[in-house]
Amino acid sequence: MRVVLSQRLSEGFKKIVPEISILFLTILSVQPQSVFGNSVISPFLCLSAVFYWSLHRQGHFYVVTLIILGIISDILIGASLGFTPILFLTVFGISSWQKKNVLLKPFHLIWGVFSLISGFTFIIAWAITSFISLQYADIGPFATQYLMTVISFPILDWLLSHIQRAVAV
Amino acid sequence: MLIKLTHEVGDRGYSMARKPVLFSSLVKPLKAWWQKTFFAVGIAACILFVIMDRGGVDHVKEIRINLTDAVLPITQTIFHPINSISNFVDDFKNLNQAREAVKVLEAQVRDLQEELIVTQGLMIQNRRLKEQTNFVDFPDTKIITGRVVTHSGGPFLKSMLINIGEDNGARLGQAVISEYGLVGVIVEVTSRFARVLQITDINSQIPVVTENTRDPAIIKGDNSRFLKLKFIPNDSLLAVGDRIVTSGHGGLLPPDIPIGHIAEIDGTSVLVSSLVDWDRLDYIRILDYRFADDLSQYLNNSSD
Repeated sequence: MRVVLSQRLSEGFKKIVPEISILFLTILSVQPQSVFGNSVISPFLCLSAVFYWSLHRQGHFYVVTLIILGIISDILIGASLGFTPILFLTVFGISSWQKKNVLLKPFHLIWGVFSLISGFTFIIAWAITSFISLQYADIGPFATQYLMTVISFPILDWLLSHIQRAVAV
Repeated sequence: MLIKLTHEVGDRGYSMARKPVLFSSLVKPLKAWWQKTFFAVGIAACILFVIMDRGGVDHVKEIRINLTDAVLPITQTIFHPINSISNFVDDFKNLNQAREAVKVLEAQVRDLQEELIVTQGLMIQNRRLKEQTNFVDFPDTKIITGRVVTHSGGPFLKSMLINIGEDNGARLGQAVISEYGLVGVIVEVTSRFARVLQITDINSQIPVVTENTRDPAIIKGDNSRFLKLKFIPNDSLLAVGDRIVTSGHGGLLPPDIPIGHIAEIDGTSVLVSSLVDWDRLDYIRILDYRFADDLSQYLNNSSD
C-alpha cells in the first residue's frame, strides 16, 4: 500500500517538475541577495525555462498553469497582473507552433530560435511597459536583459535537460 | 456500438487494459481545439487584466493585495533555508576581514565622538535660534525598520516588497530610506507587506532641490541605474557632484532626504547617480511623516 502511494506521489511529482522549475527560477530571480545582485539586471531565467519545457513537455504544459505562474511572477516583481503571463504565452505559443521544426535540430539552431523568440517577447515587454507608463521606456535595460537571457540559455538548457533525464519526464 | 473496443497485447505477452480507440480519436482533436481556443482566451484575458490593473480597477487591486498576502509567506518559507545558508557562507567569508573591520570601526568611532561634541553644540545653537525666531518646524518623523523581501531585477519596473505592512504602520505614500538615502515611496500596502516603488522606476517622479543652491526640479527614474533631473530653472547653476535632496513640496515626503549626486550634465540632460547601494539593499526604514497625514486630513476637510 505504501509502495503504491509513494509511486503515485513520485509520478505526480514528475508531472509537475516543469512548473516547479519555473516557479523556483521566478522566486530565485526576486531574492534580495540573489546571485545576480539587485541593481544589475538579471537574466529572465523563467522565460528560458518556459521555452525549454514548451519544446520538451508540451502535452503536459497547459495554458492555465502558465497563466498562474505568470501571475505569481507579477505579484513578486510588482508588474501589472497579466503582464508576465502574456510573455509566457507568447513564448509557449510560438515554440509550440514551431516545435516539429525545432526539436530534433542541433543545439546551436535551437539557441538561435530561442534568441529570435525571446527577442520578439522582449519587444512585446518593452511595448507593454511603454503603454503602461504612458511614455517611451528606455530600451537599454531591455536589451541588456535580453542579451543576458540569451547568453545564459545554454547553461539553463543543460541544467533542465539533466533534471528532465534524472526524473525521466 | 459506436465505441469499438480493441484487445491489445503488451510486451510481456499478457493482455493489457482495453482501450477505446474511437473515443480517444474523438477526444484528441477536441482537446487540441480547446487548447488553441483557451490560448487565445488566455492572452485576451491577460491583456484585459493589464488594462484594468493600469486603470486602477478596485477589484483587481483587491485581488493583487490578497494574492500578495497569500503568495509571499510561501515564497519566504521556500527560500528561507537557502537564504540562511547563503548568509552563513557570507558571514564565514567575512570572518577573515573582521579584525581589520574592527580597527577601522574603532578609528571611525573616535572621529565620530569628536564630531559629536561639535554637533551637540550646533544643535543647542540651532534650538536657541529657532526659539528666538519663533520657527514653526515640521512634526517629528517616526521611523519603522524592516527588511526587503523581494526585489525585482528586471527592466520592466523597479519595485520591492518589504516586510512592513499596514499592521506595522505602513501607509501609502510614505518615504522609504536606506542608510544612504531615499529608496522609494510605498505604493501598495497589505496587512503584512508593502510594495515600494523605487526612485529608479520609470513611474517615479519626486520633487527635489539642489542642496546648495536650492534650485527646484523633478527627479525621474527610467528603469536604469541613473535618475534624470527635469524641469530645472533656466538660470540654475548646476555642477557635477552637486547633491540632490527632497524638497518636501507637496507635503508627502519630508524635506532634505538625500537622493544622489549629479553625475553628468549634457546640455539640458542632467543625470543623477543614486546614493543607495542597490546591490546590498537589505534593511530599509519607513519614515512615518505625520505632516502628510495632517495635510491629507486638511485637504479632505476643505474639499468636503
